[in-house]
Amino acid sequence: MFRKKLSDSGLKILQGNEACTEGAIAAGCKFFAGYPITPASEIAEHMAARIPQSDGVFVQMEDELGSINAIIGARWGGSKSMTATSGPGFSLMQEGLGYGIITETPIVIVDVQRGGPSTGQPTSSSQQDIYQAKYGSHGDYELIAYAPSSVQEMYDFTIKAFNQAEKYRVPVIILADEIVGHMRERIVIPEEIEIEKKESPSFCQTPYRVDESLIPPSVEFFQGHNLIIDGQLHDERGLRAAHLIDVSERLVKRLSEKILQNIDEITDLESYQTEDASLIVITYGSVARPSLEAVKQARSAGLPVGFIKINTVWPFPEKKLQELTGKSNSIIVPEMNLGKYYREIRGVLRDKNIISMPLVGGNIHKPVEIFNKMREVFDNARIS
Amino acid sequence: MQELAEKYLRRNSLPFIFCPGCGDGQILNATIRAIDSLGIKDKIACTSGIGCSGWIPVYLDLDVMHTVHGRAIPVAEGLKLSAPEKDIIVFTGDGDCIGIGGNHFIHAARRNIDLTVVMVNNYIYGMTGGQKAPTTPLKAKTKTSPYGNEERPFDGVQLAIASGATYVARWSTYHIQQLENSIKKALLHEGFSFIEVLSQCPVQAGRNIFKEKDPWKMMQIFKNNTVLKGKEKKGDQSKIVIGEFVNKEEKEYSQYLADIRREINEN
Amino acid sequence: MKINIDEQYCQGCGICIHVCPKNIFQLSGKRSKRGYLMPETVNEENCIECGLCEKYCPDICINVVKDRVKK
Repeated sequence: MFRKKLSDSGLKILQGNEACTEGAIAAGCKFFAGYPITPASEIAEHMAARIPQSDGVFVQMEDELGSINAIIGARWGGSKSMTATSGPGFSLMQEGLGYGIITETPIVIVDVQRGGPSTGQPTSSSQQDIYQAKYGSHGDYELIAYAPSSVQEMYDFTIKAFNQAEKYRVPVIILADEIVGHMRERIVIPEEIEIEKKESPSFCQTPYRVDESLIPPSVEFFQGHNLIIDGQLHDERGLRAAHLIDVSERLVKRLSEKILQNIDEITDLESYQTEDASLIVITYGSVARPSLEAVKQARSAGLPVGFIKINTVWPFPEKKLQELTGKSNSIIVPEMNLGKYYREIRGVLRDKNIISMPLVGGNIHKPVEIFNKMREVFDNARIS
Repeated sequence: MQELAEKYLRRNSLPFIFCPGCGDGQILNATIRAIDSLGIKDKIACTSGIGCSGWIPVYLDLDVMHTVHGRAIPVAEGLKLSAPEKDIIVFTGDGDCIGIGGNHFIHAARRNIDLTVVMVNNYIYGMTGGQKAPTTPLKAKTKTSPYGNEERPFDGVQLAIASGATYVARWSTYHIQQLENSIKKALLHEGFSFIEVLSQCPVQAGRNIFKEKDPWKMMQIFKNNTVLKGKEKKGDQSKIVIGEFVNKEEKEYSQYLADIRREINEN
Repeated sequence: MKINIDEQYCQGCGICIHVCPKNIFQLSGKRSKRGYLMPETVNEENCIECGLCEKYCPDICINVVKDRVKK
């Protein structure tokens, strides 16, 4: 880790997508490859203007498949790299994402979610890609995904994403959505930030040999190692081992374990008045905004409710959720989809009453809707 | 071991996965000689796609990325743009380059980004067992064209020319010296270089398309059915034209971006 | 030996047999440890060091030891 001073610190009014770009540049992003798609195009546009100013490269690739593959190549060439897209483009990137996973390449992918399926609703928000972020590519793996709920978080989480990508040698997703991508808010750019930087070994013939951290060494091309980086299952040297059952098993397991064994450090949750809450609203992304408002109103009305905002939606923060929800017996999960993350929560908080608040069509939940749901839960509890 | 093999091959990855007599080994051989004669071993990285040709650079003791099917070129573009002073060689096959990878190929050529793309054309999808490819001749019988291929084949060289590649050549494994010379030229050329190599696949294409399993005899088929550019007989379309088709200097993409960055930061 | 064929890597494709302008390669009738029918060299003194066998070998396993004194 090292501390980097920022020359543009202070207050700014930015669009969410712009803030994401600024965060990336602050974090040291030197390569962006992308393809225009609503509602993420502003990230590419802003990058096209800003990244050359910090000696970086912007390429508008011919499609999203080119974009994800170019950023992987760029990282091995020595440049921190990022791409940005929305649901349909994210679907196209899944194969490349898998390649980033198996080669353990630090990259950042921004998905500014919109309504789906298919072309769907280009200009409306949703949280329908939450499963695609975790399970979109074939094969078994874990990765890290952030869900920003404000323009400030678009800035802050992008920096975190770059740092965690470098630290764990894993692709990191920023699961934004059209609302948080297009809104304008005042943000604070700090005077300095922390940047993750790991030392490269002086000569590495085993780019996938790990210590107890399960994280491989920070190597790149053009350092004299003569690396072989392959999408096939490989041994410590990077050579093909798809025909060796025990080596293959070890690699696939390690790709998940390197994240799961560090889940306490990786996962980031915020809570509000959960200590004495009998009902807790749990959500992520822009739905956190009306949810927190509803919870505050409910508290004012005397209801013992609390709120948990999940900043890192993947890996799933099972233990932390169990700890924070210990005293409660009801959970409400509002999401802009047909109820996806709700299933994960229902799977681990089995002794509680978990209620999904799905919403599709393009709207976001209103505080009064969430408030009324909370009210309904308490009324039902009193009746039964 | 041969001196050049000692210097350039990744010992712990041997022996080659290639079938006996496969042209891929010959292309690797020619590439090593081209790199060695230029003395640029420290300046090179390679990418490759999926297919038999994808294995060519895996055996090279250089920085190598064995990517996914059709994506060797965009990965190479990312590598080049983050390390513009290096030379990147892309090994790809006919399916990998102008089938699934077609879009990346034509756009990289359009950008005139400094890459050397060696497309191994064996007229078939060999690694997966002998299905038809974008270059499989009309009427040829393969595993996925049991009644004869109903599709006209692509000409990789014409695609490269139309897309704006600034060095374009085609040779065969029979013309191994000319191939080595072209690879050298392509490495020195600052711009998008494309070399198509007609290559024998004795096991799949040999058996199914050429009705010839012997690798030397397949190389003779290449010799007898190709004609050097400039020596074509008027009106005779029966032979495949080989040689150098394009060799010109135009603004190279990574340089162009570097110039713009310099201008921006000076003002 | 002037011309060495590395039996660890040779796959017996026979290209060297055809490409040599001095017919120095022929089938030996013997198999290598990997099971391939190996070529052998005869009349090596006729070798003109053209290098074609080295250049055409798909397994890059032929080594022609060049004479220091030019003929």
